Amino acid sequence: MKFKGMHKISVLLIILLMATLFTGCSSNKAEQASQTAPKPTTVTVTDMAGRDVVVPAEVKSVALVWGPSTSFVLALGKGDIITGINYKSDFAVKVAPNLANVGSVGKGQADLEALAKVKPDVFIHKATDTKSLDAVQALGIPAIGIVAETPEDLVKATELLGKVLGAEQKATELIAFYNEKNDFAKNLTKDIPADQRKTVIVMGSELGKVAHGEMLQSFLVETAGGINMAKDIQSKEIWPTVGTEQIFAWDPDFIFCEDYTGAAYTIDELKKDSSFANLKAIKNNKIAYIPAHQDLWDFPGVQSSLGTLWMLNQMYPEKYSEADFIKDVNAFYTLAYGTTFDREWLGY
Amino acid sequence: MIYEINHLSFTYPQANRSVLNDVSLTLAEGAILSILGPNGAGKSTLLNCMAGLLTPAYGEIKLYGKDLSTMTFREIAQVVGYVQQIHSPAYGYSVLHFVTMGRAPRIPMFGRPGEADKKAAWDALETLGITHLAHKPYTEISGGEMQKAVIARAMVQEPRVILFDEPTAHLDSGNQIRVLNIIRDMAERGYSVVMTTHNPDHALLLGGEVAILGRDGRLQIGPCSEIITEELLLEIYNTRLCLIPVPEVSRVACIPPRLNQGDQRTRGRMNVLRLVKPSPMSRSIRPADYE
Amino acid sequence: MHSKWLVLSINLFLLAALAVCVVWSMCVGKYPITPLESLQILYANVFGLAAPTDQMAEKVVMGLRLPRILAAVVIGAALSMSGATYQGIFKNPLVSPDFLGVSSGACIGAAIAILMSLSGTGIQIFAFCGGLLAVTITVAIPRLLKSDSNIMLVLSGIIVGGLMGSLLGLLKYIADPETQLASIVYWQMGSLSYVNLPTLGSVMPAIIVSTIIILSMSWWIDVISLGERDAQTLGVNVRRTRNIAILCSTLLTASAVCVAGTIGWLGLVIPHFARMLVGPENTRLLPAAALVGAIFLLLVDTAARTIGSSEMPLSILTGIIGAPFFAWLLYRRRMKLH
Repeated sequence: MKFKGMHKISVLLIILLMATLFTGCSSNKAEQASQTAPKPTTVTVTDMAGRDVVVPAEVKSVALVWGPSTSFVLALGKGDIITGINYKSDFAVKVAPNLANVGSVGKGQADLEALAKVKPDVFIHKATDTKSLDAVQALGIPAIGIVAETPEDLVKATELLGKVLGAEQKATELIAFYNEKNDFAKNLTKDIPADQRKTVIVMGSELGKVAHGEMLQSFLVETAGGINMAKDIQSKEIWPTVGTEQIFAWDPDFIFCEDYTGAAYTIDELKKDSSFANLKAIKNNKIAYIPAHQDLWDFPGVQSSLGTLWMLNQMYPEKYSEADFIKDVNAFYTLAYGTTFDREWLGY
Repeated sequence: MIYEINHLSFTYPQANRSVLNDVSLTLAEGAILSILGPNGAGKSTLLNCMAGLLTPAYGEIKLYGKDLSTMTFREIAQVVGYVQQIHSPAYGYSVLHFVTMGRAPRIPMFGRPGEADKKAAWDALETLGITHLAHKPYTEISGGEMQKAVIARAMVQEPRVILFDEPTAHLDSGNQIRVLNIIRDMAERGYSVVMTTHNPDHALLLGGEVAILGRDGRLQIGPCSEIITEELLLEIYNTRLCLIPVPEVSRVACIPPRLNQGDQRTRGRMNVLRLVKPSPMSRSIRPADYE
Repeated sequence: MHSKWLVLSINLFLLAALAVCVVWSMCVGKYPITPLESLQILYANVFGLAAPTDQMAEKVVMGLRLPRILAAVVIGAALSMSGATYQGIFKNPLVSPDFLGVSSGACIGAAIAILMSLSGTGIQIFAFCGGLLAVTITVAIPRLLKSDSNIMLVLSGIIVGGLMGSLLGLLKYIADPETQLASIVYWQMGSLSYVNLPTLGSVMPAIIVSTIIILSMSWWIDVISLGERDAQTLGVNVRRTRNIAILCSTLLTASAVCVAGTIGWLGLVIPHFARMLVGPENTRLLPAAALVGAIFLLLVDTAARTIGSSEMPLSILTGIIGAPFFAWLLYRRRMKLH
């Protein structure tokens, strides 16, 4: 009620203000109009599903129902204009406190009527779900499809969303950071001969589920100079199951685990389990969760460069020290959010 | 001639069992034919062949001079009504609805019964005296009532001949006689009737012609009084049955002798104790309903 | 039992109830529109007048709610009629599109079409062929085993359903997880959330033609339901008639699957419920079952889109309501299974 009242008052004030402006400047109004070309109210962008979408020149609100899209919007500093979201992580609420009051407009797929109620300026969703995109578009809400499976797509998505959300400058800076850190990691490890590179598997929510070569996690490992033992597994599935026996056969130097809530195992359990005791990675205590407790470092988004750097530090601390790593983490968060976060809170 | 059947043989392919062997018979308009025979001789098979449900291996069946195998079910159903042994259907249609289905051969495909069809069904219910059942579910009436409903359904088909497959099976004594009366009545109305039965006395009651289907699948046919003899009955049923004139009902009845007397080949010592009791069979045939 | 007038008034009552449900469903949803506004929008659009309220409300009512309501009504009716027809021609009250494997067969057909990157008509044709293949196998198994019992047909349906389930699992396994898997899962779960008028329109010819044929042969379904022998002695070409009925009801099921995916229980339970209302005669049963099915699916779908923060798959709700209802029916009628 209070809000509504204030809203009315502000509308009244604006009308009053405009009225005074009009009466005051009515003489030179025509002059002004001829001088400045009318600012376009919409722009047309081509999204990553290949659809031409007309979006407002100034997007004031955005709704999301697909997890990975959140990271992009947050990193671009536009968390404050999110008006519909499927999942609010602690991290998201911390960097965009307004999210505490934002409700859901669907999980994975848009709940069309809930979305119509929120009526965002733009809806951002995965490009592969054209059914949702078209249905939302039919409501008159511009729907932008993005793909974020590969590093190239991730850069393109950042660029596209920067343009749509009016954060081109920020997007350019983030992409520059992302490319620079990836190049840095590659250059640092390029001279390591193949037989001295660390071998790695990235394990999913169950024992024996691994990231194959097509997955972003594999890219992080390879960029950081490691060898993903599972990179040649042919599967269309995400996190294909190869079985624990295969993991014994690979016996990698490092095991990086996905930090899912509700995972079927914990690292502590593995360390206590005698049957795993002979694994190199367990023996040498080279098994760890990829930090994703708050910001998702192994998820599509520019923040995944931190995942690369974390792995780099884990595998080759002699080349890339912990202090360097902390400096880079802080640099990223200063760039993206203008602040730094506690190491403990971020969970690395 | 309604039916002309020549040299009919039938073999069940899966069981490789032949049940009809060179069967020939003719059925005239308005005739009554009872078919007797032991279990498994092929009485029902013969009726099924006559109704076109089964195709004989050898021989031909002519219906009004037309080869039955070239006729459609619909053509056959317009001439032949078939009262099969009663069974309970999956859905409890009202008796009236059930009887109306007998109009099917006279209703065009994709059509529905009209008022005239419903009236015909109602008339059939009246003829059989079961109008009080018209709106009861067919699944909830007694066996005797079901048998009447099936007969009513065959009547509304307006066929020339009605085949009855053991119409008295599973009925109590009273209903058996009532159904036989109905069949006799229908013959008098001009339908030809073919009936299979296990009970030779029913054939005697009905009169007309009798065909005996032997274990070898062969058929003997002739007037009732000539065909049914005690010797033949012993041969078919492997049991002695007596043909005795009963003056009280002014007809010849077929009754079994006292148990364990005439049939010592098949009945053993087990029945000695029952010797003094009257035979239940001899009591059951008391055709009080018969005129 | 049921007089003509009673049946007529029951049907009129159902029709009125459906109309009330349609209007009610039009007025509820997550987007706040008053019932009056909804009706104004509908009225304005039907008569080509300018809509009185904001554009978004118009899009919600005309673009979201109306297609969903129409689809729920059409599909509820189609599945119920399909179920009643199967129950009639197989003289078996225990069968339904899902229990005969038709739904999962159609789902597999659709999944194969998705894997082959077909769309629209291709998916429909494949769904129809899949459903037809499934029902053919289901009917063939009891014949091969020379068993005529109701239970055998049901068991056969379970066999085919299980097989189709595994095949669907296989298709999901080889599907592209990003693009194809989601749409296959969507088919499997049953939902009307993305229905639009063109999709619904594309299956309407098949549904209308099948419905007309089934309704016009409804009396003959009664005759066939007496049993093959009885029907033949009444002059019915059982095989041909039954095949036409199977084709039409499979087409109805496949069309429903094409629009909404597999929705369980509806085709089994609604005919029984309608039979309790108007009796077993298919001439009366089919229209009543269509109306009851339309009302039921409309209520379920309206609940699915209004309850909870995100949409519930329809099969969850139909199962929660349908399964106990069927158990109660079994208890009440002590159905003869043999």
